[in-house]
Amino acid sequence: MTPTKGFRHEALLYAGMEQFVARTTPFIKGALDADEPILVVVSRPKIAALRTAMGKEADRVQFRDMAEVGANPARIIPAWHNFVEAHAGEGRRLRGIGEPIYPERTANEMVESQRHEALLNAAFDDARDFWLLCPYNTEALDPTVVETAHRTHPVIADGHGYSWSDRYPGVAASVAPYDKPLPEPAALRATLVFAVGGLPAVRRLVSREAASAGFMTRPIADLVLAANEVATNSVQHGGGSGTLRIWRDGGVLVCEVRDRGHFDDPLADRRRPAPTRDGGRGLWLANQLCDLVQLRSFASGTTIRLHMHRDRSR
Amino acid sequence: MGDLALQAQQPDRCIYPRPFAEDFADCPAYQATSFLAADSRNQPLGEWRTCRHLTAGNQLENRGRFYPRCALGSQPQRLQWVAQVTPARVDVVRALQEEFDGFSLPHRMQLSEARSRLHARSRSRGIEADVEQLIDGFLQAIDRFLNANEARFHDVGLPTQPLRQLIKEWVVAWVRTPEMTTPRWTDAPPDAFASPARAFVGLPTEPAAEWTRRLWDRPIYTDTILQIVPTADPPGLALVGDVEASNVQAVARALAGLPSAAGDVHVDLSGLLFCDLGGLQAIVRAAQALEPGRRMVLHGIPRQLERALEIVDWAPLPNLSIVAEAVA
Repeated sequence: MTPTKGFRHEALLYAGMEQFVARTTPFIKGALDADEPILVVVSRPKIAALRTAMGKEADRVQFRDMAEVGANPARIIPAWHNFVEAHAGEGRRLRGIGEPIYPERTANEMVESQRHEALLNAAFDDARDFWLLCPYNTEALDPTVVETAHRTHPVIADGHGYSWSDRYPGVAASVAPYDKPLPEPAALRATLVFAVGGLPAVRRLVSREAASAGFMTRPIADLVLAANEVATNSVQHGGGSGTLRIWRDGGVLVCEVRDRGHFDDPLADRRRPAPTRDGGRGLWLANQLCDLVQLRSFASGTTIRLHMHRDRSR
Repeated sequence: MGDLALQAQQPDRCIYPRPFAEDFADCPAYQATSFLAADSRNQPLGEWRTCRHLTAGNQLENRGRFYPRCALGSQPQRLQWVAQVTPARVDVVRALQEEFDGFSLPHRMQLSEARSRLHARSRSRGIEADVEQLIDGFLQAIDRFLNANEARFHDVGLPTQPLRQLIKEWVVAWVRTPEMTTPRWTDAPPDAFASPARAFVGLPTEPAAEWTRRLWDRPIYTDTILQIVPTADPPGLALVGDVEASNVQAVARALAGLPSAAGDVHVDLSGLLFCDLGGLQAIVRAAQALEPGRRMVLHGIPRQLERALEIVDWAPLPNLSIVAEAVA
């Protein structure tokens, strides 16, 4: 199977650091030989290992730390967009390696990272030649996580060859409204039903809960701003009212807003809004300010959860 | 005398009903502190709540008549102080105070009881040693609390080293003084805490820097969370309070109504407690609507708002100029 035109989204299965280096370096060298721009977004130790293996050649590769770019997986597609746009009009194929799925992810982060993998298929569906490799460490990841890679990638590579995934459902199914239910919290700290005129109370409650949970002032202000935007959406587009629930999950504070609205565009929060556009920036901002944003659409409405880590330095 | 007349004579009068209800949240500067009240013979009267900023004002024209005075000043000054320290800092201090009041209550109750014995006419034997031991135990608990929360105290502008010293002096003074006075830390070293955060511990602050002169008597718009007032030197307007979906139209109208003569348009944001993306958009669109060559100059923009401008790609803009940031 030879590389095709357009977007090629490929999962690369490997076991351990040695195989990671052995199976990614030919791909990177292929890009350098063909004078194709390449961006590699993986963990710091893996960047170091690739630099050691490739020597001087590695200086022609753009590296970025996935923990920085993709701590919140919703920020990864915009990073790839930036890369693609930076080389627009050059007529060269682009290559990327991105490893958003790694065992250190929390359960919620893992679910959103898998959602991110599915959304990639739509985000670059009409892109010019862009070959993206997503490494999966079969040695460290749960088998069900590796199994999911077959459903989010049309092509699977294992170091010996490529094959079409027989479980990949196609672009349309990859971006179908996300209605996988979210787990119910163990114990709520607060619940508030709000409508027009209730936004100051929403802000007060979020701020007070974050302060009581031991947060520093900057993440408090960020969470208040993000929650206010989501609650404003409920008041303006989500049936005029919503329900705010707040709880703690270890060192994470979660603010959830539920309303009767619908999100039609699954990539709504992954595209950098044009400066000329009016409105529609709330979810974009929330994803840049919060550690994780979970969006689910149901027949009955929409649920959005904003997660903020108390002890994450930012 | 009616409320309005009182406010005219005493602009720093606390306008909220006291004693403060448990869930009181109307004043954005409110900082609940708990104290153990005692009667004139130092018999404990239980736990009371007051506001750190509430003091007794003395009306000069009416000698001897005291009124509830806010140490932060008038209503506009109060709001300006909250904008300066930021609402998030106020909430962190409230949370820290609540935690302090919680763990310290048993200590304070024991000390309060010992205190009344200490100042009683017939002193029991061994009371001195008892008091010393209780003070020691309390100070150790305070130490643990300050150490565990050092980063949070530092974040709100209260370094724990001088704070430790202050609390110690306060505890000793409270136990040793027979008069039942609300302790105030006016004797603290003046440089230990920076303004405006010093008000968190009851120390007087320097007046906030004013970017523009606000014409409070001619408000363009007022609701329960926002005031839009015209300014002079330079001419423009000031947004004081919260800008959100419910009042963003009023903000857009006020910005559109700014004098259309040539020259820059000035907007004072140093009194903002909150501004959502809709409010930011109203400001950006008003700047873009100016004829080429004219600028909208933003004064005292809160740091978070400046970051939000960058996140949504609205900065830099050719017609928008940011002259100085607010403190936070």
